Amino acid sequence: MIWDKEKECIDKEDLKQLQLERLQSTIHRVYRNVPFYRRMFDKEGIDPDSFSRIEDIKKIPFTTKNDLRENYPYGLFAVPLREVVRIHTSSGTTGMPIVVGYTKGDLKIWSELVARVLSAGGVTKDDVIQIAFNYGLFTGAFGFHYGAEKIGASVIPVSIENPRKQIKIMQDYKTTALISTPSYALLIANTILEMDINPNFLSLKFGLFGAEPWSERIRKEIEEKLKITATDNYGLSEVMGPGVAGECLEKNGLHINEDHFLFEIIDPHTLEPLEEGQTGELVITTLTKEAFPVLRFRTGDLTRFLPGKCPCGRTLRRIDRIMGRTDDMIIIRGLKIFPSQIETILYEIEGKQPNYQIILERQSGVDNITILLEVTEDIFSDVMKEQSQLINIIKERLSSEFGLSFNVKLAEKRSLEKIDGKLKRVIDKRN
Amino acid sequence: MLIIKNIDVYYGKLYTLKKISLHIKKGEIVALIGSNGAGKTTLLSTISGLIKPLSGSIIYEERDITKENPENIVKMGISQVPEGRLIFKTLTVEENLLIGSYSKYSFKKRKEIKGELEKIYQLFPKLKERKKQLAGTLSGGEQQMLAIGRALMSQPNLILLDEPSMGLAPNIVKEVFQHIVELKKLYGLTVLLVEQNARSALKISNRGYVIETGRIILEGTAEDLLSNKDVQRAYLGRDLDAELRI
Repeated sequence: MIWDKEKECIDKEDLKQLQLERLQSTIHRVYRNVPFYRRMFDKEGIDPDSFSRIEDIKKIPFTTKNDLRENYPYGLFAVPLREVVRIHTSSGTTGMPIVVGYTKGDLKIWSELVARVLSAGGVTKDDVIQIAFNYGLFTGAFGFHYGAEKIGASVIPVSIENPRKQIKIMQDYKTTALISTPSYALLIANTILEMDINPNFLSLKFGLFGAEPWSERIRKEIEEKLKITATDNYGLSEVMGPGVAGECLEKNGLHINEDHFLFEIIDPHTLEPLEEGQTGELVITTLTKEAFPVLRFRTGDLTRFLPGKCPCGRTLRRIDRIMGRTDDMIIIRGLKIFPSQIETILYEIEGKQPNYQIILERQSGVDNITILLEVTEDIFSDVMKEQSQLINIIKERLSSEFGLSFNVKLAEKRSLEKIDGKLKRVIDKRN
Repeated sequence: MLIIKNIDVYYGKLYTLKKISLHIKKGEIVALIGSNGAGKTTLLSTISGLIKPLSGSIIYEERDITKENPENIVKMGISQVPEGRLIFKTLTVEENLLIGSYSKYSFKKRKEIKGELEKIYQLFPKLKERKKQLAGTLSGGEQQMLAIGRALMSQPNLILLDEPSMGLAPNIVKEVFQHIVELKKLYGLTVLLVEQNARSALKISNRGYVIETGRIILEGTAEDLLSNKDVQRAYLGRDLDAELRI
């Protein structure tokens, strides 16, 4: 179902006009109310009255995560604190969190936009929605909660619980839609198998997953194990939370809520805009946010605009699933490679979730790429031939995929280098 | 129906409108709210062709009317009800109404015009009662209705209403606004409503724009604007600070 047909199926020209109007008023509001943007405009000599086309946005410098951090906690709010009715923070893994405020109006729009995403993912007022996101400073749970209420569905705010408890609720309360991260959904799916429960006896029909990158392969796995239709959605707390973009049942990319957000995709190195279809960093400008508007915020997320129309009838443009983070993107001999691409190949060969590390080195001016793959002990005890066979298969697949030769080494379990308990996926020793 | 893009308007050397973009869809009532001198009337007069913008475009029903003269704009179906009514006080009510049809008038059309007149009398029975009376003897509310009636005589599709509530008692304001809603239903009119009385205006509108010193600083559904604290403080006459102290 299409939640807001008027907006989601809007004529392209009408959309452009609406975006322009909203961009102009947003610029006036941030220039008047946010010292950071006032200083930025004055310093760069940008006249806030000089935006007559959406493309004029390119005059504005990017806003980075660091800019947001430096204005901790309330420096970037565009309204006085007494008008803010909610505070959330970004799940900053490093350093200071980013504090985001919402006015009453922001919360209202947030509910509307999540209602769009939920409807696109198949959810209606007749559904029983189990929200398995953490209720707290993180935006995921609350955003979906509001959207689900807006639709009129029944909401079960379970939050993060042990999977067995989730499954018990799922069985007893007859949950029909699950909201969580894809990895958590997979954990639930695997626990269901472990508990020897037949997923056909669950009432589950839909799953809307987001908050981390996932692949088509994981989608299939979740869909098969839970017997559901799984869709992807995208959001980030710096911009709003969930509700920024979401997949429809065609499962061919995420529709952007373009009447509220302006998307650009840039080359993260040259910072130049990229053409449709090319993968780069997503940059977002909010068009209706009142408390915490951002102009040209560099998300660090990698995706691309998808060409063509979606058969679902929505005219809102689509992006591809998030392929990773800019910090993870590898550029070697001019080629762009994402760890997720390598991961898919390793999975296909190994048949299970691979644990691996990518090492980049420079030897006499030539860049080399090495994959360190963790394997179980039994392969080490096996004959050397099998080991080298595995290495060769991986090497061949990788080089035919990327047109580049790879070094592949096998590593013992738990031997990969970790930083703060987190596996560092890419180690770049070139500089 | 109407799409305005980036219009700049000068009065002498003074900028009064800066890159104004706005749109109105068929059948909508759109409120334009803002304080005195924000540029509301200037914008209406620019749409009517009374003021020429320095740059930007005004597209009405897919035709560029930016450089069109006011007379043609009226013929195309845009009619403005000016601030302060500006009725002809020394003419009768009916004469005032007939003036509104000047752009359509021809001998052949006199029957059609008669019909229009009857429609307006149906909508505003008071005007019928007083059709022979001099317009200057009408009350403020009646004069406003006369001004609206006069604008309707040109059979517009889009009506630009400038401060219809100005100088009227609150109960009369209510009546005028009710008439505007009826008009929309009856004639299928599209309305751009300029008001300082933001609350009443937003209550009958679909969407609204907030204009400040010649720039649009907020756009949204009427409902959203009514609950927006900035709008409340600046235009709805609610003193939040005082409320918070209680």
